[in-house]
Amino acid sequence: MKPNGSHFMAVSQVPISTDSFTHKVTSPAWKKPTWYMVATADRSINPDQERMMAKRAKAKTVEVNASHVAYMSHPKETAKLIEEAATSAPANH
Amino acid sequence: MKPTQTKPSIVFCHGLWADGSCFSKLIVPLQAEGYECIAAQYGLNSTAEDVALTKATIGRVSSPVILVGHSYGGTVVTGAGTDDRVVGLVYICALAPDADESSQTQQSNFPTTAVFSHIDVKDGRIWLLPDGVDDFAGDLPEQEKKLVWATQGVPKPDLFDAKAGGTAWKSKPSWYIVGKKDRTVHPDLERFLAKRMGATVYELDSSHVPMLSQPERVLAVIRDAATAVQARSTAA
Repeated sequence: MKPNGSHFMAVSQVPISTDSFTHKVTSPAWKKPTWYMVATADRSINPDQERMMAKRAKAKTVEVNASHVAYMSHPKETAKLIEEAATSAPANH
Repeated sequence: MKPTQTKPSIVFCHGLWADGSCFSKLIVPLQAEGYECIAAQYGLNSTAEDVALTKATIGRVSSPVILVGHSYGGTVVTGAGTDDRVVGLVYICALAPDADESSQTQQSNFPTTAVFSHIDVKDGRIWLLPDGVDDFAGDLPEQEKKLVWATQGVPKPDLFDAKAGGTAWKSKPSWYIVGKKDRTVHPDLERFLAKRMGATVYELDSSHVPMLSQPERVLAVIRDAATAVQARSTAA
């Protein structure tokens, strides 16, 4: 991220509620077709944790050399992954 | 040790169908000029919660603070601005209820604006329909209008029925920007509120979102407010 961008994120941050990380998700949606972007220089979520979750979800996975906000520093790669998902996800009905 | 701050910090309060990123064109230049800035990102679930989060957000920057509120953010500023750390209020096309009024009270005394023909109340929230963005942010380029719609924050339906919990504009100096082509908050309502609070008033030839369509003009008003409160504290 360029300094201006990361600065802006700091000042527009959404504070999280303390139970955000203790709440359990029942029947995880990642059993549906999944795509995953791992940020190899992530210092907010450990990249190895991301890899574990991507593998568990049997996700189509890409790795980018990015911080936690890969979608801002690498928007092209991120958009490509989303487009891939949008064009290859099976129709629901 | 932090150096003694000469400039007030700026805390931003967003309205409906927006979030803190609606102030991005103000925050980046103000930071470059040395102002500490932060946007209160609240949930539009209840005014009491939004005011409480704004007061908590004020604690993340140095005092004194100028609160800047857009639209419903003006109600939040009105409630949170009684805090001792707040020395000035800037209203952008914003609501400013009196002690016995909710956000809705004065809205009902003026003609209903066009945007309200383009909303959908569903799943416990009030949504802006895609064709409503013309009455919300009509003076933005097409691409930017779509971005505004895609990043909307959605209120609970009874948000406007609550009182602000304070009337900061009665005790703090205020600046008010009227959007002359506003089709979300009626410009005459804005003029009425600005006059009632005794604000320094600016009229811009803009839609409801001058911070996005005319950021330079809005920045000039915030700088005016910042300079005025600094002069006051120097004189005191």
